[in-house]
Amino acid sequence: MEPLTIAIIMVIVLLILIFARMPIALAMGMVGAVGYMVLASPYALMAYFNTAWVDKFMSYELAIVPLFILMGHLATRSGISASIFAASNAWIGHLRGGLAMASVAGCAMFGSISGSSLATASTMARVALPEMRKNGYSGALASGSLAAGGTLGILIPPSVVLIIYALLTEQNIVKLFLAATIPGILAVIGFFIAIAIYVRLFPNEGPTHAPADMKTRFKALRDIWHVVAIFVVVLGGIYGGFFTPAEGASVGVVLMLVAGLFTGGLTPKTILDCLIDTAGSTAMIFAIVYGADIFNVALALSRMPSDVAAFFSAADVAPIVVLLGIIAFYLVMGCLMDSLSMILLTVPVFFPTIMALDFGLMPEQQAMWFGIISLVVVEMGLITPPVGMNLFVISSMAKDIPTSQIFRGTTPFIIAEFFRIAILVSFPVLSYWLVDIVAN
Amino acid sequence: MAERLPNETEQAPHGRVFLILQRVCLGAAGVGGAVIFAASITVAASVIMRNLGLGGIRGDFELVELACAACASLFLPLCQFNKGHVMVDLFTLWLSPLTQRRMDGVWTLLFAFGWAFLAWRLSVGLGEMHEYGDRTMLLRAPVWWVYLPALFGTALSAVVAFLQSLPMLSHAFRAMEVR
Amino acid sequence: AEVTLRVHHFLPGVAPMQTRFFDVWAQEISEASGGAIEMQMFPSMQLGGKPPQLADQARQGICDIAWTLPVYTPDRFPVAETMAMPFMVTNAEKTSVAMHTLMEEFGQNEYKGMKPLAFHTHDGGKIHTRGQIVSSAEDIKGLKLRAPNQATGEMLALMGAETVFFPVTEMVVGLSNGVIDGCCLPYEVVPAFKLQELTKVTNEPEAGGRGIYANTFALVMNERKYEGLSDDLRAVIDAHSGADLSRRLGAQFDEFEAFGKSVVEKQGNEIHTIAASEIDTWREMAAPIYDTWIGKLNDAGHDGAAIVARANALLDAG
Ligand code: NA
Ligand code: NA
Repeated sequence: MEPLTIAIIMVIVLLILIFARMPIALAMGMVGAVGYMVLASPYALMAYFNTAWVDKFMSYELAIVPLFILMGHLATRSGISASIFAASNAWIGHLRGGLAMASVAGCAMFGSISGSSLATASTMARVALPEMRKNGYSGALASGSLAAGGTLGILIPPSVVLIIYALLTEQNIVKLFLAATIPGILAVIGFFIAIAIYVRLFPNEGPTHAPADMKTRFKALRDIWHVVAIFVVVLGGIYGGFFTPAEGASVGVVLMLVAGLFTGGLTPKTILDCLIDTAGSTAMIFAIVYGADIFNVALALSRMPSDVAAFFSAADVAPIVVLLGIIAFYLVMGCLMDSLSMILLTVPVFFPTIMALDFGLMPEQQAMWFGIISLVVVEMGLITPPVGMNLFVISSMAKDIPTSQIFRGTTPFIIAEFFRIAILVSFPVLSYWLVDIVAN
Repeated sequence: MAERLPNETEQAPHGRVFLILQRVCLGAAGVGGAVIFAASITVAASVIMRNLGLGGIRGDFELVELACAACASLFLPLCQFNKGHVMVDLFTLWLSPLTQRRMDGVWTLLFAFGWAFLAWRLSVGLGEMHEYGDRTMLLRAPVWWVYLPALFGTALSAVVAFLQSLPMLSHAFRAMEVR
Repeated sequence: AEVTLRVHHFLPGVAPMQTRFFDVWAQEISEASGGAIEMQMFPSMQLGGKPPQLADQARQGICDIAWTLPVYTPDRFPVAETMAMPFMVTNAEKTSVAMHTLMEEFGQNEYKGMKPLAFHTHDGGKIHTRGQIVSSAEDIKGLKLRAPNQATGEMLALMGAETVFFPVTEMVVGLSNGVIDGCCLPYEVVPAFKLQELTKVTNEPEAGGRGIYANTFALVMNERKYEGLSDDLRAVIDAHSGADLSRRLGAQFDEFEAFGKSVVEKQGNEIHTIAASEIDTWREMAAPIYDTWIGKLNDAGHDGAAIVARANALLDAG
């Protein structure tokens, strides 16, 4: 059988199993393992599993996931999250959809110190989901805004995906971070607009209440001084040259612990609870990461992603058609694959293709532009069903919200993302203007 | 989308097996959490020392990597115990609760075989690493150490999944319901 | 194609190692075999695992050919690691030839289950800094330097540097925000990390003498796959491997090095030369590291002193 046929069968079987209630991690792992065995050999499969688990998880990049999740649990148990919401509620809670917007803004804040979407989604969900539910927000709107908001973890620098892209394409990481800033802010604006329209269409799903008076507002602000302090220390530490973003995760955990002990919200018992809570969410994510790993390796063995990429490269059409084709391919694959693997498998082929085409840009500008577009479309994969990691994170934290509600709640944000992709493709300048201003 | 049983009510009272497994899973998760917590404190200490000119802690990055591998393994059994592995229920809601439960039972049994297979392979991997004597670059920690929690976590997950799947597959096993 | 060989390595597909070496080499082998051998390239660890597992992957048949670094698995391949000690490297071509000879003489049993195709090194590492000029050991005192490997880190620490062992991703951010003052890497990787934009000064040892350090590499093939080839095809692989390939890879890395240096020059960065006599005094300071290394080789059942002496003799003979 042709490797390409095997790859297509793998994808179809995976979809069937997922639709038939098989846990995602198991489905990806099993289909991947069988595909690997057929494409390589049973002996190679055995050898692969001897070390793959430890190889995968002895990793600094993955270690920040439990760290940020732990940070989120500490924030919740110590009552710090409650004070964040008291503050945002006091200031914008009276707007239509105000709390959902505050959640997105919180994700953006968290995203500017964290480089991972999963960590951002799970942390902010832990913090914001109960608050929104308490305030009468529908499960759809609450989970949708948090799943989408979570993607700001990689959209707003620092970003793990951009670091990988920079390494694959020999670009300057710092410039790419800078380049991602305007598109990141655009995402926040897009999400705000999506929320605003949504609550006007379905007013019952995001109730409002009377605005708080100024005294309450400033008192609420005073109550989050520790959050502000942590934020300033972590951001200042990263940009002031005291530590790297990955070290910032550890610093954040320790600061959150100190703040919790200081405010009296944390006790040995609650700290233990935090550790056990961290275990549940981390294991769920890591199991999928592991299943996706073998699935992606099997796909790589079939050479399907690189064959498709080569097909686009060889097609004799206008540059913009090639770009749109690549975007469409990413969007489809994003429904099934993990974002990082997709970048790893396809960028080495797509990047030279794009760079060989004439879009009327300088090479460095073109590289940044394509990097940002890849980042955005790949990141959308996190919120498109059926395999969308952010959806899973939210779902595992909101067991009372049915799947159909989560999908419905995410739809307006996916629409907003389509508009943003259109804008970024139409106006490449948005992806390099800031770099030109600051760096050159 | 979360793994959830529509007929959770038919659950039997918590038996001894349930209580023992719960303790072990919780204990493992607690140890894993403590490990990752300790790693973060070490890195924070290293950052402070480095900025005070005292020099960072040698191998702090490696420690975090080792901690990540250890906690990934130790967290697993609790996730299995709590039925925390996510799935998509959207397309099977029209089936009867009993059918759904039977399907989940089949997948959980497969999960048990999957973890058992992984545990078996990891035991081989452990042997290889022990034989090669591979160590990490800076801390010189034997790599086979990390295989111990991995073996423990996958094996325990296999046991938990197996015991969970039986009552889901047939009423005959109802007495041994594990959550 | 009659035989498909899967080639696995850790560099991205756009890296010169892929485009200038692997693609060309695969084409040559395909032509020499009349199309009977096809090489499938899997860059960026696409077949899974981490770089330290590459040798095992080739041995176990997860891939057929792997390009690997012995230093990633400390003590597993001690003879192959010897040239990675500080102050061994002269230039990439000469050091690669010397390493190949050393492996033929002492390292025959190191790559069990694998058929070594070539051994080589890159050119010597340079000290790239955010502005600090390094003329003597005194200048290194207190510098926060990212070490490329353990032995070099020990050496820098002996000289008084505050060494850190960041992964490269952390290194790049650390250089840009000043968490670290510099790093020790060859010019060859400068374009990949855009190091020329992150640093202002490059301190390079005087040409002709010993360099600061170089990592060693091995290109290995699964032994069963090699033995299983028909005589004709095995002859094709033989003709495209061995001492000649080692020399060629070394020469290729000297070219990569020259290109990397041109990038630094084009950026207008300062290139400062460290006198060969100064490097000689540093090399004396590194004596404890050589002693430890000899002990390690002895523990592995070799005559450590003889191996290190032979390595130095080969390098000095040029
Ligand atoms: Na971020
Ligand atoms: Na998706």
